[in-house]
Amino acid sequence: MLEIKNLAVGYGHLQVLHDVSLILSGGEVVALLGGNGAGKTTTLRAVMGILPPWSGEVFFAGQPIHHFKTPAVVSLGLAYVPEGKSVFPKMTVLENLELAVHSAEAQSLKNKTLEEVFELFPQLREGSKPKQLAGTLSGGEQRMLVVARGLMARPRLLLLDEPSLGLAPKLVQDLFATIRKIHQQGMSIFLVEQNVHLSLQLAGRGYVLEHGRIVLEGQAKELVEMDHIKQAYLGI
Amino acid sequence: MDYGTLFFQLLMTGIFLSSLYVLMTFGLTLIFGVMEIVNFAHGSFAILGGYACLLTATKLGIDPFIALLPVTLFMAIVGFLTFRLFTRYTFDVGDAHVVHYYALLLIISNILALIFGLDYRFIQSPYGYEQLHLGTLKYPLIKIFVTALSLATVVGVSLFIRYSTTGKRIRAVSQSKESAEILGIDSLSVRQTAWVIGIASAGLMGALVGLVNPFSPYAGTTYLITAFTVAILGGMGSMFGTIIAGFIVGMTESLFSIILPSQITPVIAFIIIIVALTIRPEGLFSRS
Repeated sequence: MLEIKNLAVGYGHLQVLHDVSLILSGGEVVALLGGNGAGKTTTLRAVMGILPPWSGEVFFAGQPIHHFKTPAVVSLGLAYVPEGKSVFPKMTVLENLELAVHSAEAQSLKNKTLEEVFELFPQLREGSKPKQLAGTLSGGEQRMLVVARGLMARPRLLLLDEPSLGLAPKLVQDLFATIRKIHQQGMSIFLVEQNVHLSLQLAGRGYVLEHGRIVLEGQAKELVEMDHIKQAYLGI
Repeated sequence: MDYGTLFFQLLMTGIFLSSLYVLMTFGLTLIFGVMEIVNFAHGSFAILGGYACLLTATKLGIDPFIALLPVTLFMAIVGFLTFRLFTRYTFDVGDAHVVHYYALLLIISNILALIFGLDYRFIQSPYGYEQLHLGTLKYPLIKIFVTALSLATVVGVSLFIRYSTTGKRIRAVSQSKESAEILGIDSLSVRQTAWVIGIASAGLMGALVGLVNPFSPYAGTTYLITAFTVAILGGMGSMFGTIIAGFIVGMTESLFSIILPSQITPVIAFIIIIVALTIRPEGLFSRS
């Protein structure tokens, strides 16, 4: 479904990604792991058309998308859930959700999608929450809103950027349980994470990025066993 | 003149001034909020609207109030063209855009001066100097119409920004351009819409003022200075702040007009700004 071939990307004169290649097939959860500054977010931004690639190619469902601008990439069915708080703070929860709906298909299914999204994130429907300004939500709720917003466009592929970052452990567990549910409903997920343990529990396959290069790849079960991962990321 | 009548006239003038100031500043604030650009040419677009209304009303021989419709449409087209040919290339130049927009101000003003000359012009309307009479109270009819139209426009644009899909996209892009793009919103198209609304409202304001005050090609600077005052007081980028600030400046100016000669009254705006910024440097309702 998603194929990245020999991607090189940078900011200004600084090259961040060197020759990155990876594949994600329909229905999979694939994890991209690595420490701070490894280039994980840069990879997602390049796929979404936010960063122009220096060289290399990106294909979605066989179509080359590396020269597409972001709105075009989104209209193909990719949804990017960025890290941090990227809600629109002075707009309500409902308005935030509705802003993600563009395509004719998503528009006609809007109410159904809202219902599905509130099923997954019932906290966002409680009381007067839907009319509350997004900037006044708690950190955990804002993170949920950003994920929910990504789902509103009825995407084919969900790109999650460090969903666990900054969240309390209990919230992280709940969020990952919900992400698992989303996957079980048929969504393909590209998960970028620093939390190796949780990601490899969820993902079927994984890649490890270090200094902008893929240094390891394989089935999640195998990666968990590898000494490199154990030492570097699991503290064993 | 008894105090009742005086108070009534001051109140009406205050509302009259405030509504025009808010209309003028609305466009400025909208543009700044969505694309971080200070449109120094805003005043000259207003004057352009004034001349457009003058031409339309005199050449076609129609009521200038009716002419406002095609004039606003014309200004929207001007907005569209200036966006595509000029504005969208100024997004990445940072503070240097001050030079670009001041140049635009000079270009527009000078072209108007070439075409129309430097004499002050005035848009005649069939209502002339008729006054509205409510018992013993009276107020010029034309100012009432201008006030009503200004307020109606401000309310209309506010509702549009608040409730329409395009309006919500405008707010989204001004709150976080990148998050909006990530959702698939075309930020260039949104910025174009905001610019067109801003320019059209500036043109409308200029036409409305032209019905009440004489104007000349370079008079836009006066409007601009007041608009900046209101914008800074209200906090650059806040539409709600613009409305409150507009009324503060308008009502205060009207109040002081009894004791000060009319040439000095713009000074009121400056004094307000100095006082307000001393107490609260970021403006009353700034977006941080």
